[in-house]
Amino acid sequence: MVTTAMVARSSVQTTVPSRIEVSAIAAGPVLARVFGIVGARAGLSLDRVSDLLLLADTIADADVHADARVGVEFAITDGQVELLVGPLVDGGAEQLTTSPTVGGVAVLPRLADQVEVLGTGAEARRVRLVVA
Amino acid sequence: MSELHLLLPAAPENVVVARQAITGLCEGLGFPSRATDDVRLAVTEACTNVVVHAYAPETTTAQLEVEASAVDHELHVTVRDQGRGMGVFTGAAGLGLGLPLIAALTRAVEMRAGPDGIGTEIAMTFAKDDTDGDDGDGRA
Repeated sequence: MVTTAMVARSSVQTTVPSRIEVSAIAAGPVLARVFGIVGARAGLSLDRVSDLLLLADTIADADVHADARVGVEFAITDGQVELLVGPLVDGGAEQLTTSPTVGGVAVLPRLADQVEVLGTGAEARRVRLVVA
Repeated sequence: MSELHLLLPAAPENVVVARQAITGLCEGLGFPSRATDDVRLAVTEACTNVVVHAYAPETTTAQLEVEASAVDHELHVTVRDQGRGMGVFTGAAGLGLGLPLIAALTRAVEMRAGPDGIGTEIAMTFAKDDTDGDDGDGRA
């Protein structure tokens, strides 16, 4: 009976978003575990799941999050993982997409297939990332 | 302010997301592995209850909410739904072991109506280093 109820719920399309908010101190392990399971469910390759884990660390470590709380909305669409990071502090979106670097190369654009800053100027407080 | 706030569609595949999130939180807060195992199992049971019992199968706004706060050496976790509330028979009978299991794994547990009387929430308290048990293994 439990299995029947679980299956019935699984087949229903819901309108509820998937959103996580976590304090900065615990953001690293929480995001890594959640991104890992979301990437696996999306059917991403192991390499791309590894990239998601690196993204989790990059996002968690960045000092750009409003109120020292890391917020991420996530969704799986057509076999790709879409992440909406924010709200961020003023200028945080620009900083997140350009500042974490390795050897002078920005990390986020190398890990995600799409990087998009939502809003302009001081209103740019969210970053959209897609990993496929 | 809570350490973790998670809002998810109340779907079976999201129980594992909640489990992974709460496990990561315990790791981030430095919980020992034994305590983390208890938190993970109890939260999994509570989330499964939401998915199975809280909503009619056709509900498109079914949501699962998990909130966790660390206070001193305790972790307070609340699993909340906005479903039909307590006492409504869903027709999805289980083994009846979920709540007793949660009670065995927690220092304190309370099941009550959600905010504004909507839905149900189960509030669980876990000890970071539980030495209250009578059998020496950390469990009461």
